[in-house]
Amino acid sequence: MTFIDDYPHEAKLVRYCFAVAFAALGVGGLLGLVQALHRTGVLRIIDSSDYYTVLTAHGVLLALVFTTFFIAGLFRWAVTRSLERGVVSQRYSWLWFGTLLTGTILAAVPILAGFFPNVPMSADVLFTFYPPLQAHPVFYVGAVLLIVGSWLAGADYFRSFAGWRRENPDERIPLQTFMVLTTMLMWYLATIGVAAEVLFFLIPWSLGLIQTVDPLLSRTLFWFFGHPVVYFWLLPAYLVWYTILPKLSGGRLLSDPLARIVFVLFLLLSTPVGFHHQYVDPGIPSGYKFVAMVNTMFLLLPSLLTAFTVVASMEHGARQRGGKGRLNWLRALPWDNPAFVGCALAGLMFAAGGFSGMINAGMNINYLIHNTLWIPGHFHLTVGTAAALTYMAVTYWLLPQLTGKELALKKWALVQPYLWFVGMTLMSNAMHRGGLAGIPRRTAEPQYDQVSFDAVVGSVSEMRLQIALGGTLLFVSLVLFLAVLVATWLGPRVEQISVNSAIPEPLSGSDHAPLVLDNLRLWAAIAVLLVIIAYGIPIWSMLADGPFAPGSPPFPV
Amino acid sequence: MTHNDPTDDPEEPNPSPAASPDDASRRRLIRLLVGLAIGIPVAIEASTFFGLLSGERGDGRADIGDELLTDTPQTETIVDSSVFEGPPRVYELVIEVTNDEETPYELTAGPLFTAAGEKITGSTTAEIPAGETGELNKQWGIPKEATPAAVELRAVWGDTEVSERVALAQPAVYQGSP
Repeated sequence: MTFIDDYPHEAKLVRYCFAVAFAALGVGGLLGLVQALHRTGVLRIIDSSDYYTVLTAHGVLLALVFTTFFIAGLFRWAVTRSLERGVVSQRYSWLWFGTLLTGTILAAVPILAGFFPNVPMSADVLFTFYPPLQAHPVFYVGAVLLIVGSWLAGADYFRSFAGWRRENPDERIPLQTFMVLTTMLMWYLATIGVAAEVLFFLIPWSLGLIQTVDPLLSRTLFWFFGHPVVYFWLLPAYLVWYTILPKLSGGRLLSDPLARIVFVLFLLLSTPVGFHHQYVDPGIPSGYKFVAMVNTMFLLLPSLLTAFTVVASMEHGARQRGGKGRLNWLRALPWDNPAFVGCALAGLMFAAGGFSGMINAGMNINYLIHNTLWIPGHFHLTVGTAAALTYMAVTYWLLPQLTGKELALKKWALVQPYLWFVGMTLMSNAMHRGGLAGIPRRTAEPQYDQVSFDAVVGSVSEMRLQIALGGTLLFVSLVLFLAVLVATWLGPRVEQISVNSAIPEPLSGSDHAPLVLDNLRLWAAIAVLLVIIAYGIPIWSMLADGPFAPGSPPFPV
Repeated sequence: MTHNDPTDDPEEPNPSPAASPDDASRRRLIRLLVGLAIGIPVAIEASTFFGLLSGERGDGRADIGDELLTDTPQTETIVDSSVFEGPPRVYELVIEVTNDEETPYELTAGPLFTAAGEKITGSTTAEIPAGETGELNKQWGIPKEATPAAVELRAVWGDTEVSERVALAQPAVYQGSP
């Protein structure tokens, strides 16, 4: 029996989530190619004045819509599977899906309207929607519904857990559910900032109810959310690496307790770090920026723990498959399994992304690369590969279980993650080098008459070519993925899928994990306390100045 | 919670090398994919890494921020080294001199040498009193596409004289005039 047979409603819900996610991925990915070719001067098919429309659509569709829908679906699968129970209310689950979808449409319409000057709405405000850039109010309403929909989805998971807990009062929280619940607790805390920003300031401002907003307060509230959102993207990938990748490798997870510790650390440390995105913002005392930096450095710890645990689990699997020797066991891993390959390469690339993230986190060295092309170079390694490639890879394993159909075009599926890895290396390497040369981000035409960029390694023209080539390979990889998806979806149901959906118990199980790790109330309370320490006084002083002062009128005026 | 038999192998192990051409071609494809997917990124990152290292170690060429004459007790630091396309095409070198000694210091820059070995005559001397900081600013007209590569420097303080031809890093190029 497969997941679709055991939980048909949940399978349908997850399929719908994945459908929206991958539709957003397709459109957003195409726009990414347009951007890459435009700003490198290789091919310009849009007007440069539309660049911000393209960039906003790319950022919002990929970093908000694709991720949120995929995560909502993945988490619903994980909770259902690990608790062995479906949703509490089917109607409620469609309610949160509908809320997410409505929010997406409302946000997307003004963004795409930016391509049509005759349409009196636009949202060329980029993923970060910093004032004084101002969008049509419908965009902000859509953003709010996207967040609210995710809250409702989280409540769905907690309701399932509450029902399970009533029947299993003494059992340890199953690991996948533990991961989902800790991630959602982090998310509830993190989204307070952006919800306050949009509800109390940006919507009234865009409706003309208030004339100015304080850009510093708005940015602070955004980045209160803006850093933990990356863990909202990453922790589902960690869920896959911890609970599915060892099995794909042929073995088991090394340690359940270590995995729990990692997720607790992310719950505690993800949010009180947002000032590391605001090192050059005036009006925030250096001491609080320093606190954020220290917390960010601590965040390296759970990722290093993950690297150890996941690689050790893969090694266990490889040796179960007959691998021997100090490094030769790597050859025994299933490099012909696209789900494994995507997850493994995503994890490898995440290491590079994590280290470039440490550069960003260092308060002084951050100044070297602030607002340069280094920044998108970094996050294409992290959300663009660690998260996105893992999501694509695990879909190869999940889709047969959700549809009852065999994966189609398996050879294309196998090539896809390798191609993504090469394309992203090319693009991201050149972006990092471009950032060191001072080439700015968020610019349609970074070719200037009065300034030449000093390349630290290589030449600027070679970097441009590398970005264009890398972006093209990524797009081809994306097309391969979507083709596999569509071909599978359109394929026939089979009696018995060939995917083995069983997930073995970890080598060190939940009974070895200290009970306190399951005390979610305790960890949530500490997380709130850390946020109050990191943000309390700075936000209080911004509000005490007057929440709308110093204020900025909207741009364009 | 379903408990799987720990002896279950959750995934089929790799099949033993098979005689069928399909399997052999599949294994060749995997080797090619893994080889390219790991090899290309390793090559790109390694060349970037070693390129950065050689940049840090320096190739011995003085650039903005570098001290020019390490044998003198005074400090001579390049603050600007730029080519302006003009017309006329000009190379400008600006050196900040800090004289912490108790004797006056004299620094002369010129002639200039291009990468092609051409000598561009012309020099400027800056006199820096004891305990002060001053600036030497010299512009040379250079031919189209010529790259400044080295400059003669002569430093005099008290009875001591030091001369050195210093190699220059490739300067930034700007349109217009200085």
